[in-house]
Amino acid sequence: MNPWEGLLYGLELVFTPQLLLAAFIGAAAGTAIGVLPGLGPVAGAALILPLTFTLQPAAGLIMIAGVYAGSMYGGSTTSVLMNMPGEAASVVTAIDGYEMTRKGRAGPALSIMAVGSFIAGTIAIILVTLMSPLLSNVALLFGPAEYLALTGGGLLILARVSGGSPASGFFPMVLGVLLGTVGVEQVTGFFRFTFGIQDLALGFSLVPVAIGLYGIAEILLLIEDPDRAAKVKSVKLRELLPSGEEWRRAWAPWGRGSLVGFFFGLLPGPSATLSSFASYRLEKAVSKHRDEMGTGAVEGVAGPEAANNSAAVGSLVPLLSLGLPFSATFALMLAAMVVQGIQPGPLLIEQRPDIFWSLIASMYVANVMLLILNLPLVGIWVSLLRIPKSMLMPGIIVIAVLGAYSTRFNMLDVYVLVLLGAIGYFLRKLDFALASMIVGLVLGPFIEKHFREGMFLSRGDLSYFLDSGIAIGMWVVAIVVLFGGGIWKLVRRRIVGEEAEKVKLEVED
Amino acid sequence: MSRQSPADTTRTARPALGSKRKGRLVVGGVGLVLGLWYTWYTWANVPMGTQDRPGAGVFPLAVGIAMIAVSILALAEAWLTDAVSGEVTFPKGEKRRVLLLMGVALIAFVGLYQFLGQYIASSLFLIAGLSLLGNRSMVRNIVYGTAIGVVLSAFFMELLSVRLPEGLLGPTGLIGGLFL
Repeated sequence: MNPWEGLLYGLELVFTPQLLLAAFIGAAAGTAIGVLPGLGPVAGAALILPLTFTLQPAAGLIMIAGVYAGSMYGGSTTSVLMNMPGEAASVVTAIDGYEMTRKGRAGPALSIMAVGSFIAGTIAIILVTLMSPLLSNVALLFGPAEYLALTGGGLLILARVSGGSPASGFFPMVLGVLLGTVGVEQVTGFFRFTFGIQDLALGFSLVPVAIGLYGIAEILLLIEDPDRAAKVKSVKLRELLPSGEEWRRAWAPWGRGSLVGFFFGLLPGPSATLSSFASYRLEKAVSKHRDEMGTGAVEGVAGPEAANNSAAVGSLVPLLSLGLPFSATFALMLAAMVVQGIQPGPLLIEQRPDIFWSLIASMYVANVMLLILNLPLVGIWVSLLRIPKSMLMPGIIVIAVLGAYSTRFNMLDVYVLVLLGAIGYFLRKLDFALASMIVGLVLGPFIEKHFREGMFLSRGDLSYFLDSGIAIGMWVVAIVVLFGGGIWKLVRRRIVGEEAEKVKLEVED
Repeated sequence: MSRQSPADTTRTARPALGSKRKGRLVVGGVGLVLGLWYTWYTWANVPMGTQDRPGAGVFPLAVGIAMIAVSILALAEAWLTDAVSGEVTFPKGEKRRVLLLMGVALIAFVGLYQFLGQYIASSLFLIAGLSLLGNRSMVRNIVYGTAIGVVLSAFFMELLSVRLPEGLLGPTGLIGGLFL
């Protein structure tokens, strides 16, 4: 099956009532989650996760994809209307988006955002379609050594780029990996760190950890600072249409943002957030209207929004072809696949083409759903913000508790939810990056698996892990990302220091 | 805000410890204790296997050592650098009281979840939450809390068939048993 036949096959599979309904529910729930304070894409996907276990694999995954795309869009809506980004990737959109709202152009800003997200999604899906089989062929060359380099190196890179300082990313990352070692060990069946507690045998579930760190912690922050929510600006349907000038100015940033976003999506790290910042910088550098950036420029909304949507789709490539989640939301998607008995990786496209192509097609369908759902219904989404917070916050906590319990029908998960909520609250106050903890929890067992497989295969020869060019290349990239910045700073300080010394001598002369 | 010259920066060897750095020192310290205990526990209790057939303890041992290393990194970063600086602000007065009481209500909700069951526990928690966070009359809080709790629980338990604790309302519960 060539890529285009595959995409058509995926679209054919997705256009069934059940999968369309799953995409619709996912997109609607995701938009609500993105609009509401306290729940971002990670907590939203974690809450939906237990429900997906009862659905067909494709429907469950499509629902999570819909939640992801919807919550990104919902987050951007509050950025534009209230200067209150629903999640990190929408921070940049708020700069010019909110300025447009203040100028009375909120409707066009929302339309530019929605149409841009749709165009970016379309471009990214075409690129994913073209690239995935190619990557799968490369991925077939992968053995335990290469996988160890990819998972271990990828995790290190993610921790380095997602946290501000080195400790901000590495500390939660190792904590996540450590939590992943609890439970029955897969090869020998040894009970590790269970202390006789039977419920710990299955280890820590991702759902309570993710909802605790992101959902409960955010609610606690909202309770202590209720002024975080601002007054809502209403938008009427007839005000949504951008002017001819605004359309013309949006085209080029949409194209540039799509390409930048897709490229970032292939890399480890918070790709949606990084790509929106990169796109904004790019627009500031190349746009004809760069002087207006920051004062309500169309380019400042069109570029970053296209970029973060394209990055979200681009991140599917490493997830589906290599089995590597480069973000917390995709870590949840990986967990959903594993529960459904699907192992993402190079063989997925051969063994489960239905899952592979329907997931890619579903991202497209989710984008169309969002366009249909969000623009005409923007008033409804915004009105969600008028729900009193005194009702919203306890309600979200109740949903979080039942979501955690329903994962494995186990009270331990509920206790973990509360404990991780408290830990997340303090770690966020201290500027630690929590995404690396979640990805560490998911990737830790994979790293151990690949390490032990490699040791078995090589009969204990550690040099096996550096036997192939691919593995060496990946470790080199990881080392460059980890230490490159520091070394560059030292070199620059040395050069700048020498030059400063020269200048000082010249001044003295 | 005055700008510091490079000479001033070298003269002030170490910037003053803000509360964020102090907090990170505590986190680093706790991490170090956890890492040392985890490494010792793994070494003493989990089989290491042989080099060609590594046991269940090899990977956790590496993780324990990594935990010690990142904890020392966090301590050193907080103590010696101002890579992360500033003040951590915690709520004061009424806001602190509300936050702490919501924490207590959450712990009570979770503690009694299985005994009371989804319907009753969530309704009681919602009543407590509405009372703490809003300024409606108690009667309204009870009506709204019960209504939201029942609707949410029914949506998940009856409509989506999610299996949640039935507690007192279950067939073996104090109230549910009366109707059997």
